Amino acid sequence: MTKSNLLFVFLVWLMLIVVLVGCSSSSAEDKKELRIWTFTDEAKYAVEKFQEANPDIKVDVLFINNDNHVKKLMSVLQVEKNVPDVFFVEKAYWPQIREIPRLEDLSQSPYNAEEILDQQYQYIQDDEKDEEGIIRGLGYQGTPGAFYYRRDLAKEYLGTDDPEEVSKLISNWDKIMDIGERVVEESNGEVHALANWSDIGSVESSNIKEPWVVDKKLVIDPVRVEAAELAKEARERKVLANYESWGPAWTASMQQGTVMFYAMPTWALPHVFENNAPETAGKWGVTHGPKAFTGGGTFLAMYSGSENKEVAWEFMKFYTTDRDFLTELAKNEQYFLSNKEINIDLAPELTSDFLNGQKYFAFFNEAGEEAPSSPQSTYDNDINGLWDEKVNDFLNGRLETIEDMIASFKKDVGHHFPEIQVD
Amino acid sequence: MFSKTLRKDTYGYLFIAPFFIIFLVFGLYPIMYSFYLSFTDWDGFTNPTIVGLENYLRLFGDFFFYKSLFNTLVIWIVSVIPQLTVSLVLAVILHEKFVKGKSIFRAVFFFPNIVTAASLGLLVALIFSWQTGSFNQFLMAIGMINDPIQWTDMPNFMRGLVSSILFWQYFGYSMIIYIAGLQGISRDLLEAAEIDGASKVRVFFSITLPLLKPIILFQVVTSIIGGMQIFDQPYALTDGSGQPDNSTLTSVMYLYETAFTRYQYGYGSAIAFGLFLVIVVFSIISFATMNARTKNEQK
Repeated sequence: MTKSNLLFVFLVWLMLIVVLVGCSSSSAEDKKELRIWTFTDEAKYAVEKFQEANPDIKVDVLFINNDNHVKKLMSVLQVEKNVPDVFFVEKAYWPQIREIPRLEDLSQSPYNAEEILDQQYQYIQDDEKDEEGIIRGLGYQGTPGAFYYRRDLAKEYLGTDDPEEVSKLISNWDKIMDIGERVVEESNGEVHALANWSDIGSVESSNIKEPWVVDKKLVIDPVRVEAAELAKEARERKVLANYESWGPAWTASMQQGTVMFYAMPTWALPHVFENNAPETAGKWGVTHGPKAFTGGGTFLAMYSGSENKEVAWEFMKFYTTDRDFLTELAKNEQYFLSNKEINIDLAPELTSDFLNGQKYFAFFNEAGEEAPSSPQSTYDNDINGLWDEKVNDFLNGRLETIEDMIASFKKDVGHHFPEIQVD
Repeated sequence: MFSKTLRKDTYGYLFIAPFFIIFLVFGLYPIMYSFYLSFTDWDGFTNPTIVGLENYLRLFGDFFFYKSLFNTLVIWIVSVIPQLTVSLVLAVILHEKFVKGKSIFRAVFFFPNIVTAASLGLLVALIFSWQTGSFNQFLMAIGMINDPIQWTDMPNFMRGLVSSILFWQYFGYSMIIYIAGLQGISRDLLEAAEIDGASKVRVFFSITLPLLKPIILFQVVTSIIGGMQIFDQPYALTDGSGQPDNSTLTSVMYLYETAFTRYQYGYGSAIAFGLFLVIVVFSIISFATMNARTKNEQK
């Protein structure tokens, strides 16, 4: 071999090393290791506490932003390279992910997760199981919904700010529509009852009986159609402020007091209301709306090919059953848990200044018991997106009747998912 | 110490090797692999199953594919015509000998190009948001409207908005390329024309424009290829939805949605190759028309 050839080979070799070294990782330490992928800040607190309790375990947490998190997770699960031992999954993506055959079966021993599920609300238990009823993940968060309302507005327009009384006044959508219509008029268009139609949509879609797809056939649960009709009525009667959820107008309205009710789950208290409207502390209340509902949630799942299953399970167990940790979490972070037993124990003592001293754990516990299970198929997240687009078209008048809307929706579903029978 | 015969050839290969190795691994291989995938049905978890031409047959009958092509084309044309003309005029002006602050203007016009598309999309989405967008607030403040207008629900308006973002982002870039081209035109020709008494306009149409032809061709072809791949701006503007009424759903957005949110990798690949064919056809057409013109002029 000539020198130049040698040099060539050397350089190519060097380059390959540079490329490949980046892909491999070393793991030759004595400490037990645990790799976690998450999309939520909450994990930091939990991991910190977990490490305090288990100093012999080295935890490596990778934080990836919500949407990208799922895409990355899917791609590592697909190629089975670099898969974390434990990963967090948001509820919207969970129905799809829990059916992936690379998630550890937690029903079997040594996990016997059924014992943990027994301590949780029924709707969470249903979510945690795949289509065959095998437990694929553990939810650590309790997410029953509530109608958050501004006490000052309630007093002004309803004559009372007492949660029980307010609840009676908004026990069905008709009452809310009437209130909405009246309030808009009395406030010269300043105040609306609801922020947008998703307040109706999120409550109603929790109450479906069937997912979008059953046996490869599209099913349109009548509850969803009713919700669209209600939304149309609400839009026409000016019950809705039409502030896009999570948009700047929406967050500002909390501070300004231009919307009376927000249908939001437990976690909205610290993450949405206290965050967006810190100066309105004490002006808020929570109460029951027309129907019980839930919103969001996070699940922990384990990779079935993980080499650290034991430690992974330690962490999952810690986050769902460790009484000391969970009590601390609930108290310090206003975190409503999936663990019913601990919530019940805390209910008498936990109050929120932001909610004017209301015993919110007691309230949410009640809401959690009533929360319906809403079955989801692997398609539901995608099809929800298509449905919402069509409902928007219907509300904005591009699709004139509900029949047009359904026909157009079916057409789109059929286009995007040829394997689904739409009629 | 040295071998007797000089072997220049291996050094040449050596220097170009990094590019080719990287291109083979990260360029050609994925392309070939997705070509293979376009004949399969694959969700990423099970093994790909060969389905023959099924994906392509679906593609030919796919309303959304045609709609996305149409959207892409409309958005592209509305942005590219002003982009290529305005930038040409600016380039000629800024190429004039006696213009003050030339370099500042060049820099300023180029600035939008450095702003990332995603942040631009987001910014414009905020300006035109329904209830609190500053545009609606402005119109209401000057009394032109009483209720805020839902701009985001108007298909043509939203397409126009995407085009405007593209135009704003790229006219500076085109201008720089034109200026480079203008610098290649000999001053002698321009001066000769001036001495003969030709007006600025006459010089522009009779000398500058014909000599810029290769540059214009380059701009047209690259903008066709770039235009067919419009993605970030509408994606950020509509939060990835391509709404209203799928009017801002571009071909690449459709591809992305299919492959990476619905995980239909086979069909996604087929869309990619469908799009590839469309780009090839457009490129051939633009080359052919340009060449035909050049030949005509030579006669």
